[in-house]
Amino acid sequence: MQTIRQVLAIAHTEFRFDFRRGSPVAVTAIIGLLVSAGILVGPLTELSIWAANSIMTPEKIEKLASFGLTAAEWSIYFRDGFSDIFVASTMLAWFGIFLALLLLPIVASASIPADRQFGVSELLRTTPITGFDYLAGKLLGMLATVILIGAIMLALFFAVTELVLFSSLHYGLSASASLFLIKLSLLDGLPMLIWGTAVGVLVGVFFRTRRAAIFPGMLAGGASLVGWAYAFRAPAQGFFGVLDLAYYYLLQNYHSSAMALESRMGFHYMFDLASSPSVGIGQLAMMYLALIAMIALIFAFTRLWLQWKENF
Amino acid sequence: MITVSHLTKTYGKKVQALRGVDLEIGAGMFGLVGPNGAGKTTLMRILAGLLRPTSGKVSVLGNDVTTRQGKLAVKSVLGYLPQELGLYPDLTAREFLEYVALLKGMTSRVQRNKQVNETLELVGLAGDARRKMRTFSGGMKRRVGIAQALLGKPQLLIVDEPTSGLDPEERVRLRNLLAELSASCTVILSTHIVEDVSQSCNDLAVINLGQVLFRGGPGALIAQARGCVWTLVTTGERPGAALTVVSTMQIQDGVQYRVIGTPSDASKAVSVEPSLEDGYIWLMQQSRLEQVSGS
Repeated sequence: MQTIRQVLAIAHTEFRFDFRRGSPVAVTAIIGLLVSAGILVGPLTELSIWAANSIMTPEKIEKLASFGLTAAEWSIYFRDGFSDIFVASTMLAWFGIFLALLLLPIVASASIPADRQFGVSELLRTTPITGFDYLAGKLLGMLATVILIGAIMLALFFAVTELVLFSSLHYGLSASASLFLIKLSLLDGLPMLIWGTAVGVLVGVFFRTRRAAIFPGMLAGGASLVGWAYAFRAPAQGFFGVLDLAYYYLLQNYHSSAMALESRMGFHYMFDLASSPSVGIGQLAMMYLALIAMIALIFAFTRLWLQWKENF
Repeated sequence: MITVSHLTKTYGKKVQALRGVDLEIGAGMFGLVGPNGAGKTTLMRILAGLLRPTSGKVSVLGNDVTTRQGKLAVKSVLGYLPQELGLYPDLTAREFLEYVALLKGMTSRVQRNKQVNETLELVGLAGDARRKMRTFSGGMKRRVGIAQALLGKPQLLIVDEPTSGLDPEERVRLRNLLAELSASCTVILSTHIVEDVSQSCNDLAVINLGQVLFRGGPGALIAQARGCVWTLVTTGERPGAALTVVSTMQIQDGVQYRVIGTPSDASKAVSVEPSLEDGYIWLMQQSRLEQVSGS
């Protein structure tokens, strides 16, 4: 119990510092804004066309009938179909989240060297905490910052999207598209934020100054980016290209009523991956297991390093 | 009780910071004196569990600091003020002390707040507790350092060069505070300022080049220099090279020197009662002579 309180105390202080220092907050916010703007830009350019097309005319109703569709079904198609554009937009915009792998290690690598530069490290080492507690606290504090900012950016994205949709089309994002975006953030975005942060914090253990940690942080970021793209590559490419295994899995399992209607009309859907190789939940679980194992391995190595080098 | 036996510490392969140190330190205030680079900080850091010794045994309050369990046990009763004190500039003194209190295992909020308030009061920082530490003077930062060391009511307080950079008033205040604290815990004061020790310690060791040169009370160190401290007045010429000049003062008849050694013409010199500083300098002089004759 006491150890947990000590770890949380370190995490809490780190969390406060991250906000005062600003760089972890700024980097995460910028990545969030880039991705959000990227997702929004596609649907917004289609907004006026979509609004005009959604108005029913007798000619349109007659044409729909030739496809065997009713006006009610057509209105569902319009509502969900527009939301599907958000999902399709992620194919390009989601690239931005990869910046987390590149940039977060750079900003997070300053965390531990900062304690050494301030000279607080020696003081902390004379308190009854272990190197494990210290590393865990630092990691949790930085993760809390990054995840909180990520969550705020996600909430901001939904708020802006709903505001724009309701003011222009008088309906919001469909449940299936909303769920897809939330799942994407949790199953793909969150692991990237965790990985980038963890690698950065742990790389910092080996350096005495924040400046010295920048370049290794950049190297770790580059290696993370390349490693992720290679290790977790999707088995097939979609319309614009599918980014990684988790994204592919989500896209492959995405269903909406608009897709069902398009299928009835004989249209080819814009991100139809039905004929591509299938990715199961097991492969996704393996991806997370590999990530957890790698983080645990690096954590254990840095812990041993602290013990050997600093008797901590 | 702290017991150090045959303690050595070598940095890399060449720098021998400690060469077979044997020490026993009891309750009260203990002074560790020596010139810069003598090995004091290395010894303090080993006692605090920050450094691993190369060889030898260290027992602090019955715990072996070279083992993981022993180290943690020592740290749970330790207050430590490092030579180069680091503080988070963006935190207030109160925030920093609360943080350290939590790390020291004070999980009860009520108890923590009470102790933080008490220590802030004790070091005279209660009025500045909500100021960010970046705005603090060197003396105030030092007081925050002392305050954090006192949290958790330590049984062992290690203070490494606590008065460096402090003005005379701050130094006296800090010395008195440490002397008061030594009534309830063991205080190890490491310093190269002999005056700090002379004013507050009843037990001391002098260390140089990683070895203990003297161990005993201030009186015993003073006694060693008795008969070797002189004052002599010259018209300007400096005393011979065999004498170590402790102080120089311009007076009406010329220059008055306080020297340690054996003057060539004792009739012109007046033997005086040595101070602790004289005793320390005499010891250092003897140590240097032994080194020269040894090499």
